[in-house]
Amino acid sequence: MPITYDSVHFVYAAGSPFESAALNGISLVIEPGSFVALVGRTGSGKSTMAQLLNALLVPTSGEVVVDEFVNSADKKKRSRKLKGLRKKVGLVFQFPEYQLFLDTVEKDVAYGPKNFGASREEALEKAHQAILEVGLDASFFERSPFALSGGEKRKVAIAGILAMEPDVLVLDEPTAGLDPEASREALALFRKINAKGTTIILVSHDMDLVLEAATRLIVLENGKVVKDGDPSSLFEVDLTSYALEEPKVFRFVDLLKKNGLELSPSNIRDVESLAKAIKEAKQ
Amino acid sequence: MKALEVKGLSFSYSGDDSEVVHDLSFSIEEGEYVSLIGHNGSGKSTLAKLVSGLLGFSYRGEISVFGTVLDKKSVRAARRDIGLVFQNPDNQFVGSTVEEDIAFGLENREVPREKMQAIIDEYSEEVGMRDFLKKSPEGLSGGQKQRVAIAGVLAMEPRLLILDEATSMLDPSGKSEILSLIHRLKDKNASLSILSITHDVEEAAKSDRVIVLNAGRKMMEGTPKEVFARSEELASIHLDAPFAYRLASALRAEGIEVPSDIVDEESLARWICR
Repeated sequence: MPITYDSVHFVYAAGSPFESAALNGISLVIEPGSFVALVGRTGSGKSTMAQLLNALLVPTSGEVVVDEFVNSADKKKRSRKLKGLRKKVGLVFQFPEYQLFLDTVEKDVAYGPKNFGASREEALEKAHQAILEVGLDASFFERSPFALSGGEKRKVAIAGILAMEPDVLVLDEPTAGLDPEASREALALFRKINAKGTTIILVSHDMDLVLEAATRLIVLENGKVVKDGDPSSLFEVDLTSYALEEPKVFRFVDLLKKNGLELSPSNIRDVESLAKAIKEAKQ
Repeated sequence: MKALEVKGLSFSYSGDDSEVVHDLSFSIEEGEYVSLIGHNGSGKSTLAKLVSGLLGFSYRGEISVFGTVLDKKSVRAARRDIGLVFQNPDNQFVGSTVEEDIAFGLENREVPREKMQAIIDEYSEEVGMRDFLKKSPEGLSGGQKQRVAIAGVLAMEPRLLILDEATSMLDPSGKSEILSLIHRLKDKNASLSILSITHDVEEAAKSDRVIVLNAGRKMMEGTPKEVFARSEELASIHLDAPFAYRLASALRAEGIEVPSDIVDEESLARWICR
């Protein structure tokens, strides 16, 4: 089942002097199994969209539908048990390692499944699977999460969400603060999870990452969708007007154009594909 | 004059046998902008704390700041020459407004009130935050908070500025705000020495000299050009080279022999289109 946003408006502190509209009529459908990037400046509505998805927020008007769950402004339509939605949609917040709190890695990761009614054994088994899946080995099970490196802690935090076996994974700036190798590993992990059928919604400022990873790109501005399409269509967009950086490979394609070599951006995603395109153009 | 000199430094946290920093020697000349790069866990941040005397003196080797060897007695005076900016903009905001935050260090030094306002005005102007003096931190972006932190540090007139991953938690626009501020400061004050601890190689490429740290040891040292030309060695310790270097090696892998002296994007584009 797809995810549907139907004429969604969201206003923070509605009716108070601090009232501010975060979403101004979002309507879109996200197909299951897709890898979608949500981008836009700080305050454009990205995080609000993500939080509506697992009912941390309720729309001011309109509705968000995920499978049988309806998160609607209309109380009569709204599903009663939205807790199930939290299991279906896993939200990985920015710097999730700050939320680790138990004394061993396995206990921390097992916390989610236990909370959703799994027995102790079941929860531990799911935790072990998730820890292995993010690329940590069994020696990590009983270590303290606080003695790990930044990259390892991030993996533990992501494992904590994966252990709940969500159908949709929402990642808010998942590679911020990681070194290049850890970022690449994280990206490979997200691709692997996506390849198994999990829908991924990536919220990021890192346009290089977005271009490399996502199959669909949604640009938000003032709570509205202003662009929606294939990431390579980014090339035609003046990203700086949305406070976004141009991906480095596209910046270089522009530079080549100024020097008289025109490349089609459609297959260029990373340094390797850019090098191939240059080679072909020169032959 | 050397702003910082580190000789044969080895350190391990108490209760732990493994050395986080191992037999490390390097120095920074006055007025030099040096980047120290390394992956997560390479010992970079420990080093920043050691040279500012924050981890005590139970290390082997010697650290000198502007010619003074650090020890229990000298550290207070030496710390006056050092300004430290940390990674997390939220953890270092101590005032309830921008103005109070910048004033914090000055109050500790018992700067008289009438002088203080002039200093606050000057440095908030310098970092482009003068219009925000009465604002509380909640309404500021990460980049703005980090600029306030830098203003607070600059107000103490340090001769050596140490940036410990100061941009790593910021979004791209916050990052470029800070980087252009650093370059502006350097242009204005040629004798300001900077040690920037970072894993942002694009930033390091713009400094005077780069030191690469791996597992607490110095692995390379040189100009950005010298260091980033060794991209395979960098990759072996989980570091990327800047974009132009990465593209040049991807082109070589495709059989296009890019000359090794081409290290910036402009000249690489011109060479490709020649």
